[in-house]
Amino acid sequence: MTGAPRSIGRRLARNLGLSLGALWFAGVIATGVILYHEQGEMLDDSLRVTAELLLPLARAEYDRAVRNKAALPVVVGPPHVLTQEGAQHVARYRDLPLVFMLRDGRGAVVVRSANTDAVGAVGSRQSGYHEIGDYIVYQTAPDGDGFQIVVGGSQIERTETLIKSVTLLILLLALLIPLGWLALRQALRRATGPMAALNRAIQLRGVANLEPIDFADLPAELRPIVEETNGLMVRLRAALSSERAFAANSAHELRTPVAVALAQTNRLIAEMGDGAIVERARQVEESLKRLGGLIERLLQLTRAEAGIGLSETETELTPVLRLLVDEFRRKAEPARVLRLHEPLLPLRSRMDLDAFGIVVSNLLDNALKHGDPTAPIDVMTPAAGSVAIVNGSTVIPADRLAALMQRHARGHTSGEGLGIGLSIVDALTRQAGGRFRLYSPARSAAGGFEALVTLDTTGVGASG
Amino acid sequence: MRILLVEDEAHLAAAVRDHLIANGETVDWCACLADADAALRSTDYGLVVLDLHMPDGRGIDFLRDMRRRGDGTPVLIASARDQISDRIEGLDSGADDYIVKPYDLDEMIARIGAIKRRHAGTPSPVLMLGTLAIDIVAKRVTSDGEDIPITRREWAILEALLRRANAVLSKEQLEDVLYAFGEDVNSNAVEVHISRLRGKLGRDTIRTLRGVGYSIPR
Repeated sequence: MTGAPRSIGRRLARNLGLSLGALWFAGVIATGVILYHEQGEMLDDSLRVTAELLLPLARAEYDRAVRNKAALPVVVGPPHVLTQEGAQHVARYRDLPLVFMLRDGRGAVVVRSANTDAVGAVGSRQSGYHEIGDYIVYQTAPDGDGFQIVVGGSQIERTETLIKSVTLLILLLALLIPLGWLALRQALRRATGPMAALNRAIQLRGVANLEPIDFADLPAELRPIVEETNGLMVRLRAALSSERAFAANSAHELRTPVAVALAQTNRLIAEMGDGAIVERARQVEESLKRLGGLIERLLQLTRAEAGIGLSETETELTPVLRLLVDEFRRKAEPARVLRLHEPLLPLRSRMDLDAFGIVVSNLLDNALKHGDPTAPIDVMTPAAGSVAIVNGSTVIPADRLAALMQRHARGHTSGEGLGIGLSIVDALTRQAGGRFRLYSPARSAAGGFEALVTLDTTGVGASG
Repeated sequence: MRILLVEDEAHLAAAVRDHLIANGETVDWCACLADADAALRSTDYGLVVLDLHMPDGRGIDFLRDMRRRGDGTPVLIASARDQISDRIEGLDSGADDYIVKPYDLDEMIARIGAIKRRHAGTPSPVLMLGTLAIDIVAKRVTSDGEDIPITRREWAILEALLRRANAVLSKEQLEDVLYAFGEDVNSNAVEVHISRLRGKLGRDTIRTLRGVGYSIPR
């Protein structure tokens, strides 16, 4: 999988927005179509009613023309000269978007509106609706004298009315789009709120916190996920605990027989006095001590691979540094000058206490084994959260320094070891989010070797 | 000094006991915490060497019980538990020092010597008593640079008196540092060794409070 992870909220907003947009569009079209038909029916009805109402009026006009012996057909509206009553009718009907004509029993047009060219083609005497050009016309059934009236309405007029109605509808609905979008966003924000809260809670708790996540206020859809995650964390915690217990039991099982052998050898040497055989016993004693050291390294490696680097809680690690420097001062053989540069700066971190102990022990051990035995070993905190251990040494080339970090890389001295100490330091420091660097010459000197561990102090103290 | 060795591994305990005895200490060995508790309640020990992984419980709980009831006997933890958190837990629970298995017996002797010095309030291993120089770690007494030979039992009495300088120790308390459990006690052994020490170190070195006990004034 590549690219940034997609946001559920954004996808929902986009999909819902597009769906709503499409539905809105379809709704507008459907409304337009329905409007077109309904409006057509309404106008047709209106045309029929108009025709029925207009028929007696037009008959009256015709009767008046016959009485006055006026020329037929009577044209209602300009440019023809109208009678007084006709003028009244024109004034009455001028604004009607209608054309009409009255036919007598023989089919001759006797009264008509000004522009009847478009409907002039109604040859049929059949009553009802007819489409003629741009007009829809309605012809009444013949009255008792055989008179019929034809009333026509412009289709263009109808279309314009429809366009106006649909445009108004679109404008009204368009106003609803931003409101709908805001409501949708608000609803999505409310719906995805628990997810965002869960996300924040997980981010804030830190990677080493294996405590169950509280799901009391979570919605039903998220509960199974959190319950499963909690179950997974319980299993992970149990696995880590059993790894630690295994390492602790292994330490006991492996160290005790070596302790017995070493103590018995110590006694043999003490009881044998001098002689060639004592020299052999001393070799056994040395081998047993080396074996003890190797067991210690292997247990450290097991712990490093079990991922013990990070702790669930913050710890101030300066007491550990003091304790270990004091211990190494006492056990260094032959005695070496081990200087702890006071005052120590704070070493508050989420690094596991035991992991830090392994890191410092390995670095001190490395300095004792591979450093110049005539030069002091300096332990200092160059900055808060940093520990530097500096020993005397010839300058080590950069490529050799990089190789020292790898497993089974050995120092250039005759000191014994598996060559895994610095790789264990590197692994544990990384697990705790810190950095491990080697320098030669040491940063504060022209020569020597410096091992610098920088702890991750991000957010330290924030959680109290 | 009488030492209580609490260790369930018999071969290791035997070697440690022999080495401590060879270095002038009196040693009682207990292979379980219940025996150790009984021994500690009945006898005045100068030091307890304590394993943490015992068949009938955790050594750390045993130590906490000791401290809870006000028993201030120095404790050296000797354990295969090698993590720094174990060491911190041990020291926080009242141990005086912590040594990880496998250890060199001479290193253990050195650690015991350091604990003794701390408890005697003398950071230097060499005590000056008049013209006498007494090296607690090397178990060596010199007068004007001349070595004075001291036997193992004489040293045990001298050390017990030095450890609690100015205090009066009864004959029974001194017998406790001379004999481990099960050993036959010679009824006038303390008087004999005191007399010999006076002969070697000077008559006024050890004071007798008739019917009460002995002390070394400093």
